[in-house]
Amino acid sequence: MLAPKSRYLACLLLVLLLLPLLGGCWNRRELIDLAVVVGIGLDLADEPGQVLVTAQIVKPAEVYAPGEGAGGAQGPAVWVVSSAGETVFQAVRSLASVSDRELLFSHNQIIVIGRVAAEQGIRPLLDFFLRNYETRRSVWVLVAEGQACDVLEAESELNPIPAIAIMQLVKLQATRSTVAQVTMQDLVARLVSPTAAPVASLVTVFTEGAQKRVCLSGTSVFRDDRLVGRLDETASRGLLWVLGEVRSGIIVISGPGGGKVALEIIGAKSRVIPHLDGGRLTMRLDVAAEGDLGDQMVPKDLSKPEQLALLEKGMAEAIRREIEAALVRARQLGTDIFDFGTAVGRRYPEAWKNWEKRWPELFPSLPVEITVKTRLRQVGLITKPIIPQ
Amino acid sequence: MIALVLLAGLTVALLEGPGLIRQGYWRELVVFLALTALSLALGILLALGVELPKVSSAITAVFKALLGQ
Amino acid sequence: MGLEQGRMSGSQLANLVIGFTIGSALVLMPGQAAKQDAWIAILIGLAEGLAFALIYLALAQRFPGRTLVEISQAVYGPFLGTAISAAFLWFLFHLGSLVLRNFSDYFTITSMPKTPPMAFLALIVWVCIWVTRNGIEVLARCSEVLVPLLLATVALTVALMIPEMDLRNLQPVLATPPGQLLWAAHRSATFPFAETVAFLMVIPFLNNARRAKGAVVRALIIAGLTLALAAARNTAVLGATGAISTYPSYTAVQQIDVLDVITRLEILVDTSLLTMGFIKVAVLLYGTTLGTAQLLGLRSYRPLATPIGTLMAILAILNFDNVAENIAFADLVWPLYALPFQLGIPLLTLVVAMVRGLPRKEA
Repeated sequence: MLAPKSRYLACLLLVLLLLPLLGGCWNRRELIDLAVVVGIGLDLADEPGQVLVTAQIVKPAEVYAPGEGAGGAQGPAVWVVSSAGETVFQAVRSLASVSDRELLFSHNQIIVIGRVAAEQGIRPLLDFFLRNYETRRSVWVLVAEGQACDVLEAESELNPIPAIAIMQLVKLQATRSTVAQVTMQDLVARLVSPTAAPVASLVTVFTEGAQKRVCLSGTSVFRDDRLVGRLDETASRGLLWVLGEVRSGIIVISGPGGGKVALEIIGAKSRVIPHLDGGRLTMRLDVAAEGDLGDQMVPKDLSKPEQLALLEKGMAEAIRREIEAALVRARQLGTDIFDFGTAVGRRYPEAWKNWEKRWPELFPSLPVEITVKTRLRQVGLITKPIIPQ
Repeated sequence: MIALVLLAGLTVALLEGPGLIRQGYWRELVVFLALTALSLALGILLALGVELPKVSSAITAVFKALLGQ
Repeated sequence: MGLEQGRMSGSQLANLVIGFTIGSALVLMPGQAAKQDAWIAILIGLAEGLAFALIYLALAQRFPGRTLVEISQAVYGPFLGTAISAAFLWFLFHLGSLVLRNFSDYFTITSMPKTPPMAFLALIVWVCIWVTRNGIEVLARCSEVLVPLLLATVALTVALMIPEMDLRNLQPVLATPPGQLLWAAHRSATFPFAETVAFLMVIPFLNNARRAKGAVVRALIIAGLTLALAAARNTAVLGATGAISTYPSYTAVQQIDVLDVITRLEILVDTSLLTMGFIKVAVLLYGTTLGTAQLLGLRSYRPLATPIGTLMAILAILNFDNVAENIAFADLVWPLYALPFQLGIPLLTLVVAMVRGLPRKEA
């Protein structure tokens, strides 16, 4: 037991020792000193060998209190700033020469890679984003048709923060399934695979009057880590069927008499089964899709079992055409965007050791057997079209 | 920094010492003071930024030599 | 009369062993060298660790109520006994400093890169010193609260990660070359399972000595299954990208995203390291402190907790210059370096005791 006096003194000293901890962590950062980055663009700088990093930074005061003056000429609530450097991190840190607030990357929503930079290879560009503790792997990755900085300068009519608008746009693609939605984690999973080809959403800038706008327009395709081409929307959905990532979307087929019928995809599943038969490898691809009748521009009652069966057949054929479009494109580019290699490696680990090195040559001539099963379930609130009863 | 280390050492000694003395735990007091002095010395050296040998890395070096790597 | 008056129940010991074994292993993830077979490597390592643990238990049961320091005095006599005890205490002390180092490295890398490591070390060691001074009973009760919470947390993260999982990432099963798999398994036996050798300083304070075996074996199996589950979870979520991660569990839990609302749950991994790392360091500090006091024939171990804890934190800094040295040590050295302490000393002591017919029945 301590004497009361020395105990008191010791307690006092303890309190004194604890005091410095109240400040929080060492390099504490207050909100008013921070600039929240919501979008990052990666391009090649004009100086050879240098990277140009563009950051889209939120101007908090203007998000909810937009430009005072008369309506109309109100700009976005962000500031877009670029800086060059020999590595991504150096360029990022160099932004401090123009930004008077320290950049915070924890809330970054998108990373856009410019076409030219992507053609040079993206592995070196991504290291920083995995290594740093502020950045997250849930960020969406897009490839720009042109420069990434132009994408970040484009505006959105509905959202004061363009990067958030692009993030929402990417998410909304689930309703069409014509653009691959790719996060950093998805991309890295393919970059660490010896054979899988990375893909990313493709974003294009177009001008509308004086304003720049963006649209998502298919999927960009890489070989190893270099951008080599794109899939149009048909082939993109073909890819997503194979990957089992089609969530929703519209398939238009010809109804009886030639008028168009739109079927809404409700869900889909896929299975990729490598099959080895006497040294000959084939891929079996089973896709099962479900849909509803979305609208019809044919004046004929389609809500009959035999009619729906015809529509199901038409849907299956349309899906098969989309998958074939993706296959043709992947074979042309010589890249395994479907990640067939991993499936083969899991099924036949021994044989795979021989094939892995030669996969780029083997893949384009790999036979693929496609089976598509479709099912239509609902016809909506009307059973017959608008015709005299 | 050094002041902080010394302050911490003083706090510990004040908390522990008087009780030991009152109970007549001399042997315990000696061990306690020796260990505290050792940690204070090392603490001060660390605070001064003196390069001290890295213990586990030294063990690694020994193993590498033994394994012939 | 023993230095430790506290006693604990079998279930408290079990919780303590679970917390100790999961310790920093949940964050550092043993078995990584076996890639997608990591969970299998952990289970094989668990079997090896259990075999070691049976030796510890046989030794503890032969000398009920005596710690390894007291046992080796009885078995080897004063001189050799002191040397062996000192070596064993060095192992506990060194292991404690390594766990502390993992601790500060983790927080430096994941959240506070500019905070000096001593800031983390001082805080956690402070708590460990406090609990050591209060005796084994308080520590056992802490684990009774913390360990069930941790197990619930792991279950929660596994449940929340189901949408992110792709079980195909676990294939091909057992494709790792046998040598590589067994080395990964042995590594996970030496870290963390056989580190339970530290409990040779704790088991004597069980209120019912016959409960020791059941409690330790059950606890090791629970901890091993938890770690294997976490390894499978990480592989299913991260696939091959886990191989480049410093802390796979951290990165895997980061992927949790339920409807954009339940996200950024890495804090759960932080807390698991905080709580289980605390139990591990506290057990090791307790063992070192009590053992030193017994070795020097002191009447109380409590005054030694603070200086030994401080030295442990200092050694944590003096272990390595950088994280690369730490990785080299963990990869190559630890699986061999730990063996004399985890297997050699207990087995030798048990064999010598059997040959010498110790302990002799007092008439």
